[in-house]
Amino acid sequence: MQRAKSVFPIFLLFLFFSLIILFLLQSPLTRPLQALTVPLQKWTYNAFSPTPGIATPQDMLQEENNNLHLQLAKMKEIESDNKALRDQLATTSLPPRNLLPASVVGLSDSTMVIDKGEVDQVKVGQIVVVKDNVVGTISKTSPHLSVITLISNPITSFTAKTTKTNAIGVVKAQGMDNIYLDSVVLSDKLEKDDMVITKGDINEKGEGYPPDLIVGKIQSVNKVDSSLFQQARIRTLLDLSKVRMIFIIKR
Amino acid sequence: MFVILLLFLTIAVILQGAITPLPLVLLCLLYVTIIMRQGIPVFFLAFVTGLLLDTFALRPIGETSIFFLLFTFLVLLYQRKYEINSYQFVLVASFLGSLLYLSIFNYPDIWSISGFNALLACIFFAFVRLLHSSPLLHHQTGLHYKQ
Repeated sequence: MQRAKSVFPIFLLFLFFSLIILFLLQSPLTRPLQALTVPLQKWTYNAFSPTPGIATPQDMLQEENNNLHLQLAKMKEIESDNKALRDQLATTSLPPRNLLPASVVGLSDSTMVIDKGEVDQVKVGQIVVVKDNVVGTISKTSPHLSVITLISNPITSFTAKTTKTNAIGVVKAQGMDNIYLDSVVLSDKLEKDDMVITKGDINEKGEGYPPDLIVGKIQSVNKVDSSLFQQARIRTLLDLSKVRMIFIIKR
Repeated sequence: MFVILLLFLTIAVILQGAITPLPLVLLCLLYVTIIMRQGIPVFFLAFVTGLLLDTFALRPIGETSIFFLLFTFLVLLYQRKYEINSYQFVLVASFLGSLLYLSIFNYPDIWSISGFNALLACIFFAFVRLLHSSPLLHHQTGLHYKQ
């Protein structure tokens, strides 16, 4: 009991400090602590993540393939825009985007941590992209760090469409290897290798996914005639483990 | 020996903060508690490492410190009556500690990660014991191990 008595006051003292920090000193402490730890976090992440510079011939071919798919998707969009212009005298214009670059300092299966935060005008709900590929949304911010909820996170859900057949559905996920386009009506056609892009669901406050961001490519289609909807499994064009820089779309 | 454990603890904080969800800091704090058996350095390290981990993980600062303080306090209480310099204790304490930590802070796959962490704890404990029983370091604490 002697030793228990001697450690108890010390324990209580440190517990008291922790509670004071937790309830009263969050803001004053977060900024200096993050200013100290972010460079270390960034260095550690870069030291342990695969080096993007050393590309195998397969990586280069995959990169070229992804770029060609991206160009093809853009061409199809331009074609349908032209058709709309000719047929209905409608015009489309993509809103100008301000992109804020940020470095990745941490990655898990469903979230990513970046080195930009509130001091850099990062806000919850902003969309994150890499080369027009949607990565996710900002879900939490602090002075110098932010957390991105990836599109592979089970809580993510947004509307998307296919470029070739214009089938509309909802993108859902249960992990990076299990992203799918769900709730597509049976009358819509889903084709393997078709590109899936965001449909655009920005609300009056400017929140939501902008249109025409690449989600991925259809890997397989699951269609059962007896059910109301069909779904397609999507493979993203990005290997997030090799991504070191992302871009935040500022509103 | 304390310097070596401090080095391990620093590496554990950096790795757990940036790369791995494994509660490595919990293991290091367990070893520090077993070796040092003194309140002040153990609680100080639990407090500081908790603050750093909360900063890395964007959690409210202080949450992990409270958890680590409670964990190390319970270990120090336990060692009053029972032997803690044993593989059995390290296995059980690291497993239960990891399980609680992972479930409180909403990590996925808590059972498999806790089991793996407990196994890792025993392996590193063997290494720590080897280090500690080396003639260069043994005289510092005169600690005896349960065989």
